[in-house]
Amino acid sequence: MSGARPPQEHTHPRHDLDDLIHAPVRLSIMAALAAAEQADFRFLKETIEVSDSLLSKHLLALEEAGYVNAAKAFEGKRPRTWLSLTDQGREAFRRYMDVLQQIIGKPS
Amino acid sequence: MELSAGAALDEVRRVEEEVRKTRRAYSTILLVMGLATGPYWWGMLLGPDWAGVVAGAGWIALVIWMLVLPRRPGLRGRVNAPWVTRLTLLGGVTFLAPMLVATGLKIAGVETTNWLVAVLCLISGLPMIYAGWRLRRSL
Repeated sequence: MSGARPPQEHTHPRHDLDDLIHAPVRLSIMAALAAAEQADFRFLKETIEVSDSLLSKHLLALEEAGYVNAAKAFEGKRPRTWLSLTDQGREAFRRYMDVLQQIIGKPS
Repeated sequence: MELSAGAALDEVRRVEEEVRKTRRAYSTILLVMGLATGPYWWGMLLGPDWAGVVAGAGWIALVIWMLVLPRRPGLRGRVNAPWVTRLTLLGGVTFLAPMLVATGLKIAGVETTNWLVAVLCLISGLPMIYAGWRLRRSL
């Protein structure tokens, strides 16, 4: 009688993709913040073409993971929310892009 | 929704282009502001009467353009970087410097230091020009 086989090790790079980033809206948020350093809520909403509530939901998930930092500021009487990547978020996005490049077979 | 690696890369590139587009518009505003500041103060403080009128009208046109440009479709919202914020704050100080110094000199009754106001006019726009140039270089 043979014993249970050990679980097969994953070798395909897709298994290394960060699931938190690899989702349509969250990927767009991370890409925008990686390129922009800081972006306001409105820029993300217009660029990603999502509703306020959906964007807020995904931003909250990224904030809870420690990837995104939100800072509220007032410009005159108008509130403005500035979003940026944390160091942890920047590193996670860099790793994510490396894995993507591996998957499509290009050196990063 | 399953997201392929290719689609993910395409989306990253698309978003990066949107960031570049918005940054380009912001850098243009900073460069134009910086370049217009010196002539504006020269016209208002040192030039003949007609130059003051032209400078005032030009500045109103510039402000209208600055308000309209970010509202073009596809350019809504803002991107920024901490160093740009610092430079624009410095630009706000240097922008006001020629007027404050000229007013102070006028109150003090000193009339032989127009060269100082002229120098301040020259440097008043430099932080904005530098911020716009550096932002454009980073695109």
